[in-house]
Amino acid sequence: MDFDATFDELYPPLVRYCHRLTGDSDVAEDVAQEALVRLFTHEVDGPTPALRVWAFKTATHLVRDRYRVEENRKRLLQANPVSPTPTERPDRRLERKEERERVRSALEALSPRDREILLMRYEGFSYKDVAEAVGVASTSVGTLLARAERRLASALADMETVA
Amino acid sequence: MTHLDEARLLTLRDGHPETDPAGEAHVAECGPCQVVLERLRGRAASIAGALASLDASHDLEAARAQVLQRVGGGPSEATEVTPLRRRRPRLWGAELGRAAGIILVTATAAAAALPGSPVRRWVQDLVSSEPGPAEAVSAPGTSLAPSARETTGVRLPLSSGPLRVTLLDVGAGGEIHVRWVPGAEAAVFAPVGSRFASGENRIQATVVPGPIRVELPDNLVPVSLEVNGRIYLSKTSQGLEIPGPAAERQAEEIVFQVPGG
Repeated sequence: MDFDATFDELYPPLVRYCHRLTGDSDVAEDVAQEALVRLFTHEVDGPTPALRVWAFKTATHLVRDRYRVEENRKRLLQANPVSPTPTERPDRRLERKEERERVRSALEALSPRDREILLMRYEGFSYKDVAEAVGVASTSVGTLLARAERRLASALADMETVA
Repeated sequence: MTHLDEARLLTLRDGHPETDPAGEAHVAECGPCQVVLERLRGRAASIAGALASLDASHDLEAARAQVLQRVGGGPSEATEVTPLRRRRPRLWGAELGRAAGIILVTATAAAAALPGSPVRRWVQDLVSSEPGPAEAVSAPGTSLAPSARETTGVRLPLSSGPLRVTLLDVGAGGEIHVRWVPGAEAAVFAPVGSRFASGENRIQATVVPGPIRVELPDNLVPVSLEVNGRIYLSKTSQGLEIPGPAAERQAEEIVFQVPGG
């Protein structure tokens, strides 16, 4: 397995997924790196799509394990700590922060499983791969995804109305 | 007419029509279902946009270095040289360390035997009792001529840039000697017990306390040296920048001293 090629292929989407899932940059990086370390050290081999599913599945389970601890769950509920770029205008920075908080809150309104399904789907995984990574029947993914999308869209719309 | 439910429409929207040919045929002829499908596509675009607002930039190279360090940092009795691109799955841990040590020593000895070889010059510097160029810029209280038995390292042949050298765990007060060398090989040497990894255009060393020497081909650009997550040196076609704490600077060598010591 070519380390650089595999890393370049897997890490960016994996850390993005973890960040969206947890709302915490540090946790996202920790989890994404741990998943890749396991991939390499366990000598997992196969075509890239299969490695991708393996890494996302591992990361999903790592996030679940991590958030069984209540303190970490509290961190999860905190505002997104992403640092703005130094050159960003203050009003734009505030706007982006509010937008992130709005989306983050809407995501938090979903159950953990629905959140995982939705985020994996929006990383481009097939229903079959989502089912394997999250641990549900592949025939259920459409129904669960439909519900997750409805709830997320509704929560986003509600917050927009309030704002 | 019975219309498709949302889950079936999502299956079509998300590119799985093969799983529901009947549904696909229905939508092709059903105006209301087409309207709903279009609405679901709009919803997907909105959600994708909302999710993208959460995304932050992540330091890819720092992550790469950390993963590489952990992957290549298996238990070892001695120094490891871990070219991951050519890594053999069964060769690991202490075996790898021993094999790498043998390869390094053998390669170094062979290279040192070649007249004009940079390794030869470096070994000569190490074992010479005469003050060499390195000693001429030594910082007070620091030996620049570590014994060959105490130092090991890795060399990386390069045909072109970029080159990224990353040093990790360099302690406060630690000295890093960067030397510009002719030829097309970069190298990092550090005390035995340090761990090395190299990939295409990259060397990483997780070092133990002691003198560190970095050799950079003098005609190669771009080149960067990162120490404990900070850029110490960056050379591009536009010139040389030295944001790191340079204690000494000469034409052929720069000595950095990590702050805090």
